[in-house]
Amino acid sequence: MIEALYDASGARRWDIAFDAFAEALARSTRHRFGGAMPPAPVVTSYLERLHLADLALATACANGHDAAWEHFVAAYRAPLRRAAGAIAGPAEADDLADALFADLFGLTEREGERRTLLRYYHGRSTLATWLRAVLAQRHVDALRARRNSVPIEANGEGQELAVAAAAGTIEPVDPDRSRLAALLCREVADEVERLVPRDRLRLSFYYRHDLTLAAIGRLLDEHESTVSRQLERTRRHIRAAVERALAERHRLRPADIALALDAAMDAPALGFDALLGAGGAEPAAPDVPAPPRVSTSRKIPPVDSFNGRRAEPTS
Amino acid sequence: MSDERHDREFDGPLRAALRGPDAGAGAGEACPDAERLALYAARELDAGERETLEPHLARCARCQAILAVLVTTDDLAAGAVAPSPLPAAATPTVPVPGELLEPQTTPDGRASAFGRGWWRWVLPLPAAAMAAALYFAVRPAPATAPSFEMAARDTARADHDTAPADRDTARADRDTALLDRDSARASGDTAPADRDTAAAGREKATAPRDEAVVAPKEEARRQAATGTGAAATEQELGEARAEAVQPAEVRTPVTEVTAPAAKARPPAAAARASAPPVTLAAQAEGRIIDLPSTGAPRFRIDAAGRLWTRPESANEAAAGFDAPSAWRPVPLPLPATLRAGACESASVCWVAGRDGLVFRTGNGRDWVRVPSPTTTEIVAILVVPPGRVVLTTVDGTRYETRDNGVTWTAL
Repeated sequence: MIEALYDASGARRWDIAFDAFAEALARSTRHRFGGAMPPAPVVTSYLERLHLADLALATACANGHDAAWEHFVAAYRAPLRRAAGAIAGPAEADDLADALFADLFGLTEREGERRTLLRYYHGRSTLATWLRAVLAQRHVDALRARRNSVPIEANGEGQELAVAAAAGTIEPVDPDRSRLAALLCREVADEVERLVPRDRLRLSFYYRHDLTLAAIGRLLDEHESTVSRQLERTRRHIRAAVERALAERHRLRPADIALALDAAMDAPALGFDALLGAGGAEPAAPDVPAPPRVSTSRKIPPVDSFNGRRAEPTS
Repeated sequence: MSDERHDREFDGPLRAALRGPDAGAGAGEACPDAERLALYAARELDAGERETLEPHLARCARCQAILAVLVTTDDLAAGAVAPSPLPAAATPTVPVPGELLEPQTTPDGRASAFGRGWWRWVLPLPAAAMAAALYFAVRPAPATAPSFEMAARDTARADHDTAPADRDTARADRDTALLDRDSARASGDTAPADRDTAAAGREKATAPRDEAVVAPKEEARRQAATGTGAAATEQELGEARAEAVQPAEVRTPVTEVTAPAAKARPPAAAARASAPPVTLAAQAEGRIIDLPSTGAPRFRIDAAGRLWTRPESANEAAAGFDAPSAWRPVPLPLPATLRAGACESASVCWVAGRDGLVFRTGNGRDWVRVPSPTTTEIVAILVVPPGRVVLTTVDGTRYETRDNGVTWTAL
């Protein structure tokens, strides 16, 4: 069977030895199933579903095969830059794509072997899909690293609040309102913790990453009306649980609960992250890139280069 | 208190709870690799693996963000320009990825990952319909009344035929509106909170983006000092400098001959191919640029902006690729200082430079001047077979032609 896969992959074109390709398949299988190897039919089915041609190309590039690398560059450089542009925006696209290319090529060595990112490709998705995911991963990591390095003084919102408070231009916060809001927020956080993973994931995509119902549906393989319904159900469930907890555990009267909910509406001013005891909370900006610029086009006639006059258009 | 107000009150705490720090996703738990996340986003994981993965995803803001990026850039990446033209010799049978998201097929021919493919055939239809509508709108008056009436009758019949489809669309819109109402309530009602946090987020997002223009240069300098990374070349520094001048999406497909080979053990040819495209800044420093075509480059522009050719008969092995004797100057119809060039094939090439001069050869020997859309210096040419050429001037304006320079469109 391995021979059939070897033939189907086109590995010979890149001068990949049979044993080397078999090792790539074995590595992919180990990566998928870990230590517990499943029955042979499962492995067979897994291997047959691999993107063999892409795996062969990646293996050849990782081995330093000239023609394979040239093919990879010619085929993937432009799409990679376009994808980087879509993910990180035009200003950062080239840096993102170039840095990835450097790592794909593998400019560092360990124990005499070139360390290339392509070794982490296992053929389960297409090479293109994998590259896009790697780009997204790097972009998100860069954003998070940048965020973590923003000094406290640079937090304009906090600074403005502090200045306004010092100048006496804002009303002092009612301590009772703050206490009730903090109580409510902690209960909400506890309830979120108790959610089943899929409900929590749906809620996170909606509230943390500001994804649309359709986008959440695409990720979770649900219809957007299902997403909408499930979000509503989860929200009601949390609300009921929180109100119950506030009444039973904290002995709050209905009026206090209403006050807590009312206070919770002022979340930004009160600093909800602080209320939740979450000092290093991430800012609210969603982790999604800015949309690309839209350009308009107009038809213009050519210009005579030497006298600078615009020639009559010819068609 | 109305339900809507209740929702509004409750969205704030929910948002705060979910936007807090990663809760428990870390603590020694490794994130799934990029391939697995890509498969999750593409819904290609089997049910068991999805279930195994979701507890982590539910608590890991990083993985959620990666998935969010993948799903929100899905359409953007798919809407990008045409696939890279590949040299014929380098394209045996492996399928070329047109887009990172375009339908890819496995060796056994099944569709995979993000692309289901059908939309590629549907998308041209509205464009064709629009073109037809434009044609009817601007075409000269018909010579005879009957033909016009016939056209009107055909149009009416076509309208009638499309009515059921319109009805379906309207129904779908109504369904969507119901969902939107829920969505609008959820997001709109929390507007005060969201607006504040979003504004803060935007402020924070602006600063890093500005820094990003500087950061690559510093990174490149650092790598140059330590001798690591592909960025350890002046070329990358040049790219960073050129960023402000050249639109990001237009890159001259020329290969720099003098790019220093990567340090590890890149084969010479691979290093040449992997070098980032030459940029305005790099050219201004007096680099030599090659016009890539099928096989070895046959044309090059020297630092003084002159065009040279390397006859096919020249023996690379004997003379050496860069041997001066292997290259001959190319006479152009007019004296010109060239700044950019690109080839569509081994024999069809374009060059351009100062004063907006543009030249083209269709046989690899004879160069003719092409009407130019500008008198400004042209610093980049992008050739996308078949027949699309994009010029970029020094001030960043771009012009496109699809008829060998007869007409140009400002982009």
